Amino acid sequence: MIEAKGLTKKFIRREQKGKKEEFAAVDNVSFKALDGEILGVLGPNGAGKTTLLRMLGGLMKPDDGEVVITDKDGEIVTYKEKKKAMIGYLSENTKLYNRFSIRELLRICADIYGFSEEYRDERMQKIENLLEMSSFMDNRIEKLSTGQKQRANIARCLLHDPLVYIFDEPTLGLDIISSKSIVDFMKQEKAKNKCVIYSTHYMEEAEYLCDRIIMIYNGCIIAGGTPEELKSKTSTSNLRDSFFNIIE
Amino acid sequence: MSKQIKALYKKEMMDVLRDKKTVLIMVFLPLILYPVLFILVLQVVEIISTSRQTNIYNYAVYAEDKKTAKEFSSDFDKYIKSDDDGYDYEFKLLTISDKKKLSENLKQEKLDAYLELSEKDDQIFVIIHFLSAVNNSSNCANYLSAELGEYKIKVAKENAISLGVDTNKVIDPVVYEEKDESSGDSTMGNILGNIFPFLLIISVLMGCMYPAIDTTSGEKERGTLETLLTLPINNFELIMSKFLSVATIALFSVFMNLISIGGIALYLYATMKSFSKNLGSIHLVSFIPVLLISIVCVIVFALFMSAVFMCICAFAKSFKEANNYISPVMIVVMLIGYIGFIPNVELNFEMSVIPIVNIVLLLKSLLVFKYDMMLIIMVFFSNVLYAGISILVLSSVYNSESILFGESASGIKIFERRKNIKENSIPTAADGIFVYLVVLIASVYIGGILSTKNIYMSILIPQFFIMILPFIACKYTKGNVKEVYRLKRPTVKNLFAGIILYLGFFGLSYISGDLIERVFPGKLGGATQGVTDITSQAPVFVAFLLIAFLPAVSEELLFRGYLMTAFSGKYKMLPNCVITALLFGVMHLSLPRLLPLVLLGFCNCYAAYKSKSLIVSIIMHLINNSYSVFALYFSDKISFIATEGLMDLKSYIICIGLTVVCIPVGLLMYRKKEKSVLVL
Repeated sequence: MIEAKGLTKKFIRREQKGKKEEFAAVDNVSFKALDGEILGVLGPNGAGKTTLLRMLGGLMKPDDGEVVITDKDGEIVTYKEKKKAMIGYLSENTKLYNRFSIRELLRICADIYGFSEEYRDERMQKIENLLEMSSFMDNRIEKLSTGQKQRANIARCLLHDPLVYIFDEPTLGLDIISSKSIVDFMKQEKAKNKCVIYSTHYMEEAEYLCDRIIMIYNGCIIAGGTPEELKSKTSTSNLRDSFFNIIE
Repeated sequence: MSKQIKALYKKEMMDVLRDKKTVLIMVFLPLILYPVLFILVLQVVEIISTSRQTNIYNYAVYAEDKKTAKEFSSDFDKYIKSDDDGYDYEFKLLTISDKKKLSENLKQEKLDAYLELSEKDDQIFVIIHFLSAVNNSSNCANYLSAELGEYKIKVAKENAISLGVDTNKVIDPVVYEEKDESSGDSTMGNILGNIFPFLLIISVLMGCMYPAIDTTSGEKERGTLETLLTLPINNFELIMSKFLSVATIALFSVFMNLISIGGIALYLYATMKSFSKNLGSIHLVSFIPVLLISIVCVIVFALFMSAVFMCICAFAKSFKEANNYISPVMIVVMLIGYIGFIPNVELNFEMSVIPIVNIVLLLKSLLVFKYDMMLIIMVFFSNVLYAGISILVLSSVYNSESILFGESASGIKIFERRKNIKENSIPTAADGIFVYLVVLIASVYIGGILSTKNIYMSILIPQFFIMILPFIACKYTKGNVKEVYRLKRPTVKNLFAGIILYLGFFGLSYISGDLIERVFPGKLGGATQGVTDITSQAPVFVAFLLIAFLPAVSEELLFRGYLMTAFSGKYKMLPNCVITALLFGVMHLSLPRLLPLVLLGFCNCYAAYKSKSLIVSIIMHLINNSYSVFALYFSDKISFIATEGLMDLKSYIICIGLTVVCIPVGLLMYRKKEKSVLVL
C-alpha cells in the first residue's frame, strides 16, 4: 500500500514579459492506494499528475508532506532507497539505453537491486518467457520496434517484483497493440494483489481499467471514488462528462 | 566501493564506450592523428628548408669610384663563391652602376640587396641596402653581413701576412668552439617540455569532454536519466559512478596520448641525433620518476577537469547545448595551457596554486629534471583541493531538481522586476554569489584605480563597496534588513562564547600562519602595504577606525550577514560556514594568508550562526583587527606573541594552549541554551 500525505510541490513559472511566479504544481494532495487495486489518477495536461507520481516514485522531493509505503508484513518503509526498491515506475519519460541489449540492461538493473547471480538469471528467464522476448533479448534496444521497446520497459519495471507500480501515461503515443500489452500487464499485476497507480488523460481507458479514481485539477484533488460513484455523483454517463461537470 | 556504484560505473562505462565519438577521441586521435600530423609537419618543414637551399640572392656593389667598386666586387664575389662554409644559399652579382637604378631595382625586388662602398684612410665603409619588409631581401642582407664579417678577417689576415705580422697573435688570438654538455635526457626533456604539457592538457580536455556531455546532458536528452532515478540509488552513488567513468576515460585518453607523444619524442630524438653528434644518448630509466610524478599529478588534474566539465554540462538539456557551454571553457583552459610555451615562466609558490598553470609548469620543470618536492606537493594538493571543491559543486548541482528535470528554479532575484518580488524576501544563494563577485571586482579594480593617489582612500573605497553593494541588493529584493543581516541583540553567554571561540581560532590561525612561513619563508609577510602606510603616518585612533573598526563592521555585514543568509536556503550550517569562510579568505587576495583567514572566517561564521547575531561576529572581528593595529604601534609593549617573523617557543605554547582550551569551551558553550539577555 502507498499513501500520499499532504504532498505539495512548488515551482517557479515564467509568464509573459519575463515575469516569474511561484505556483503549486501539487497542492496538499492526500490519498491511499491499496494492494490489489488499480488507482487511476486523471486530469488534463498540466494538472500536476507527473509531478505527483514523481514524488510518489521518489524521483522528486516534496516541498511538504510525505509518501508512506507499507511492505508485505505491514511495516512502514522509511528509507528512501528501500522505498524505491519497492516501486516499479514506468512513464513516457523513462526511456531505455539504446546502446544496450535488453539482457544487458536487465543485468545492470539486477546488480543495482543487489540480486545474487542465481536469482538474477532465474528472474530474467522468467520475465523473458512471460513477456515473450526470447527472439530479441540480445538485440540492441535502438534496433527494436516500439512494441518491443515497451515490453523491455515493462521488463525493467517487473524485474525486482515491486509491491507498487506507478504508471505515468504509459500508453501515450502507442498503437493499440502496444497499449494493450501495458493494460494487460496492469490487470495481471492487480490479480497478483499488487498496488497499481495509473495516470492518464484517456478517460475511457481509466473508466474501464481502474477500481478507484482521483481527479486532479490545478494541483488539487477535485474528486475521488469508484468510476460508478463519480458518475452517479455528477449524474453523468461517462467519466469525461463527470470531469467537466466537476470542474464547472 | 558499494555494489550500486560498481554496477552504475559498469553501466556508464559500457554506455560511453559504445559511443563512437568517445572512442574516436580516445584512440584514433592520439594513436593515429598525432603521428600523422607530426609527420606532415616534418614534411612541410623539409620542403620549406629545401626550397630555401636553392635560393639565389641577387646583389650589386656600388661606389662613387668605379674602380673601387669593381675591385671590391670582383674580390668579394670570388671569395663568397669559393668559400665552402656550409651555407645553403648562393649569390649572384649584378652589374648596375647607377645608384638610382639600384634603388629602383631593389624596390621592384629585382635586386635583393646592394652594398654601397666609401673609402677613407685605407678603410672601406660598407652600407647594406635592403628591404626589411621583403623576406628575400632581409635574408640576403643577413647573409651578406655574415659573409662580410668573414671577408673582413680574410683581408685582415692577408694584410697582416704582407706586413710580416703573426696572424695567430693579431687576428686569431682566441679560438673557440661550442660544445653542448647537456645530457641526451635533458635535451629530450627540454624539447618535450615545450609541447608535452600542452598536449597533455588537451588530451585531458578531449578525454573528459565527450563522456562528460554524454553522461550528463546526453543522458537527459535521451530520456534515460528518469529511468536511472527510478532505481534504488542515492545522489552520491549516481554522481560518483558518472564522475568515475568520465575520469577513467579522461585518464585512458591521457595514457594513449602518452604512448603517442612518447613515440613521437623518440622519433624526433633519433632524427636529431642523426644531425648532431653532440647529442648524448637517452636513458629511458631517468624518465621514470618524471613519468610517475607526472601521472599522479595528471590523474588529480583529470579528476578536477572531469568534475568541472560535468558541472557545466549538467546545466545543459541537450548535447548541442552542452557543446556550446563547453567550447568557451575549452578555449580558456587551452589559452592558460599555452603558458608552457612562454620562455622564462617557471613554477614557483604563486604559480603552484593556480589551476592548469601549475600542472603545465610542473610538467615542464619535471622534464628538465628540476625536482622541487615542496612545489610538487603544493601542485598535487592544490589540485586535490580543486577536484574536491568541483566534486562538491557537482553533487550540489546534481541534487537540484531544476537541473535534473528542468522545472523548479530559484535564480537570481536581483535580476527580477522589483514589483514582482515579495516583501521580506530572503536573498538566494545565486544572489549571494553574484553580489560577492560584484563586490570583489568593484573593490579590487574600481577601488584600486581610485585609491592610487591616497592611502586612506585605498582602505575606505573597498570598504565602502563591501558595505553598500549588498545593502542595495538587499533593499532591491525587499529583504528585511534586520533579518538578512542578523541584527539582533546577543545573549551575554553567546557573546562570551564567541570571544572564547575566537581566542581558540586566533591561536590556530597563528600556528597555521607560522607553519606556512616556515615552509615558504617570506611568503606570508607582515601587514599589507596599505596598512603599513597608514600606521606609519596616521595617529593610532585614525588607524584603529580605518583598519580595525570599519573592516570589522563592513566585512561582517557582507559575509556573516548577507552571504550567510543567502546561502542558508541552500546549505546547512557546516557547508554554509565553510563556503562563507572560503569566500572571506579569497576576498583578501593573499594566497599565503588564505588558510589563517579562512580559519578566522569560519569561527566568525559559526558564532554568528549559532548566536543568530551579527554583533557577536563584529566584536570578534574587531578584537582581531584591533590586536593587529595595536601590535604595529606598540610592538615593544605587546609581547604576547610574535607578530612578525617566525614564532618562538613561548608563542607556540600560548597558541596551542588557546587552541586546545578555547575551541572546545567555545563550542560547548554554544551547545547549551542561553538564558540571560544582554541589554545594549
